[in-house]
Amino acid sequence: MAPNIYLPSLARIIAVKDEVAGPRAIKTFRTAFVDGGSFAFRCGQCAMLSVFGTGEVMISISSSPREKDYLQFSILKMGRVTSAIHELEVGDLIGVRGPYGNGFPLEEWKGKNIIFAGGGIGLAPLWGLVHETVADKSAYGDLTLFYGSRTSQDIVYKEELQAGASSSGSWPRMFWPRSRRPRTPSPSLAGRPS
Amino acid sequence: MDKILAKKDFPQWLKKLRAYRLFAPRLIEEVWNYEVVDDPDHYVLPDVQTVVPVKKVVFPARECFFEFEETDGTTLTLTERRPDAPATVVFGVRPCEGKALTLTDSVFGGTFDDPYYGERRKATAIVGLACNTPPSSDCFCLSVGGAPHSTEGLDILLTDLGETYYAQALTETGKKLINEGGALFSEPKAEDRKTVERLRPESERRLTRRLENIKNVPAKLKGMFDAPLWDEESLSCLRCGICTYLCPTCHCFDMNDEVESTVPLRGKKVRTWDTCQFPDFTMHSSGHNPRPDKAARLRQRINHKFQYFVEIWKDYQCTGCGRCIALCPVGIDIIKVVEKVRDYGS
Amino acid sequence: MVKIEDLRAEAQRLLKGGTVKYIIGYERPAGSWKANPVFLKNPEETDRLVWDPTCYHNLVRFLIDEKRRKAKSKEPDPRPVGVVVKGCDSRAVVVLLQEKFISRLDVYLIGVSCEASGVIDERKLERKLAGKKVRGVAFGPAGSFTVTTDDGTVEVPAAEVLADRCRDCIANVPVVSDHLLGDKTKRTVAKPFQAAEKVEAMAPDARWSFWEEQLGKCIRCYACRSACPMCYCDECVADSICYAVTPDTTAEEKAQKIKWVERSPVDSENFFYHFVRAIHLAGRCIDCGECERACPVGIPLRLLNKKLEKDAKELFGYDVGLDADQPALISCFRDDDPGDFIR
Repeated sequence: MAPNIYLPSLARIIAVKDEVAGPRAIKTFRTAFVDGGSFAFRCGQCAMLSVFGTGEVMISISSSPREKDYLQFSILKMGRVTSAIHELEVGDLIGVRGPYGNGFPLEEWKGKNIIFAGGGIGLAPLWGLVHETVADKSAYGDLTLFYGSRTSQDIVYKEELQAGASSSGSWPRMFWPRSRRPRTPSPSLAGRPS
Repeated sequence: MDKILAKKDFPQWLKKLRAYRLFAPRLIEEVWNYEVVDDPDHYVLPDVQTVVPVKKVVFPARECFFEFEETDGTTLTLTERRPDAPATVVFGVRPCEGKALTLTDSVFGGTFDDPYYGERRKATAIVGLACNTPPSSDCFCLSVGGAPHSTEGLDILLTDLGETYYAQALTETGKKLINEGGALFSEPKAEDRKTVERLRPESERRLTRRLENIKNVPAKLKGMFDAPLWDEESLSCLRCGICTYLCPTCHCFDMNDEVESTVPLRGKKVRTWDTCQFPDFTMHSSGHNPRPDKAARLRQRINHKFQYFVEIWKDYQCTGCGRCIALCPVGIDIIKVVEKVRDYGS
Repeated sequence: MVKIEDLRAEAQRLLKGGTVKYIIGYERPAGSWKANPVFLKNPEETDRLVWDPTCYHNLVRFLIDEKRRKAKSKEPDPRPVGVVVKGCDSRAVVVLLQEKFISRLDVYLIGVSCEASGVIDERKLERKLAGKKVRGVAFGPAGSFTVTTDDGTVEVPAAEVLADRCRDCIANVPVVSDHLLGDKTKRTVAKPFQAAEKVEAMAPDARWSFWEEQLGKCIRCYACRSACPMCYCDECVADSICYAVTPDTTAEEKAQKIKWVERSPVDSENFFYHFVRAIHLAGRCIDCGECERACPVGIPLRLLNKKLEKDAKELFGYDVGLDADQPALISCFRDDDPGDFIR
């Protein structure tokens, strides 16, 4: 029988992290398929997450395709289904189907400098991409991340960004709401498109 | 293979096909629609255009995809509900609807193979009826790459020769259905073939409406996103769903959870028809609506049919059946709108 | 007789003088025998206006669009909109005035009287002239329509092709207008609620089966709701999940919206949608018949609405849509209102 593109696979929530509290709450969920299967996808693709009885929403996969043990989704509480997802806890079941979308054409960026630009929850679709390029740093040129938000409270992945900011090596150069002084762009960036 | 069937033997053919679920146009309170034939003895194949096109047989207005049920408090069981798709034959399908099925076949097949559409489609044979005269005063199939005698999407094409039908089997399924008619079918005579050859160009001439010279329309639409044309043409639109629900090529749908019990959780995932003409079709949860008014939605419908679909599938997503023109309560006419696009700026 | 030159002259006067923003009237596009709504801004274009028995649309419905347009506009134009209204349409204006959906200054009503007959039912005419191509329909001598086909003209008795709702019409002359054209003779109707009697004559079981069969045809295209001038709610009970969401609506508010009816076109949901809509029209429906005309699958929606209009008259002595100074039926009560359900 042909596979059914409309039938979600059951996944269990294995981790929940509160990223942002308040009226524009964001939580990050990690899910593992109940049948132990995995899910091949490209950076930038999304999946339809089902809360059975409420509905389905399209959420970008924020983990890197290299991560085989779980899929990560960061979700802003906006409406019916996202509110229902925010009620879920570790151990709860959720439906996942996908991946959907075109993904980022990484192959075309080999050897080039890359600038990642995102705002607020908008870092989630880029996050897998950031990790992927960091893991394969030698294949690309300079990596830079521009990340903004409404307020400094509305940022996701704070700890990782912090760790990245203070690390050396592969992590992108960052411009993000935590910095107190405007950073001087490096000479390699000035006046040259990437 | 070409055969002849006497019209008086048509009910006999239906009876020989009693193992199939048979659909054919029936008049119920002044409205023609494809309904199950439960009385083949007295069935006469009419020369009409139904209100709801044949898409309803392979893409019903409502179908259940799967059921979900919470068991033991922590486990959830999903039970697929593949369609109950008995072997089906639909009679009296006009060539424009046959062509429309090839378009929906492309959409629902391919990369994202829709098993619900697929199973119903595989199980359904389409017996077309050539349009010797246009069944609607708003038909314009010729203008959008179709023809009143086109065989696209059909398993058999019947042509009315007066007392008989000229039956052309176009697929293995078509041949099988004709063979099941056994001795009811006879070999066509030379004059039968001559009549068919005469009827073909005659049927084309009889079409009263044309949408001419639209080759430049897909390219032209690209530059017309902000044209005031959309506002002007959509002023009287009621934003009901008639044009899209009754279009043989339109296929947008919604999926919803229909909950029968909350504790324990039990319900169904259901697909229903949807339309880009409803105001909330593109409503985001944030309250933003990228198509906030009727102008944007009319622009979308015309662009989808005459630009986007052409880019992806190299064919207009309109087969000229004229239903949207005939049934629009305020007379918005797709032919006139596309003509205005064609002539825009000149 | 309504003289078309008078209608066009009045439209021109209004547009030239800038009295109205635009005029909603009827036109007959080239090649078509049926009228369509038209929106005219330009005084040079008033020759497009027509008045004939194919002008069955209720143009008052477009006042809903106008109100929404004004609400979105930063500097709304305060001038009224000109609307051509038949008797039935004018009753819709009365209801909108009673409910304060619009103010009297928002509209300039060009009233046209249907005089001796009414408007046609296009499907009845097409069936009567089976096969013949209609070119045009005009009001003929008393009680008939002059129909032009490819074979010439023929007088068709009005009774054979009249729209059903015209048989029950209690307002062939507009009840409110700023400029009135045509014969002002009121036509009395022997049985104003004839349509409702069909339903009332059925025993409850038969009635249920009847509606099961009729509503079984419904594909939930919502044309009935879209065509109705009284269905102006931004958020309808049939769509409570999606509508009326703004950037300020909180996630909790969206999460708590109740889905009253499923989208599935199945019996339970179709019954819910149609019966709730009918009840929401009790004391408000003026039987313009647009819902039934718009329905592509032929559901006799007027039977529902007419019954409620009849109840309004018989139970409450209330004539829907005749007097704008009367309060809306469901927003007031009288001491002698029927109360036998109170025990």
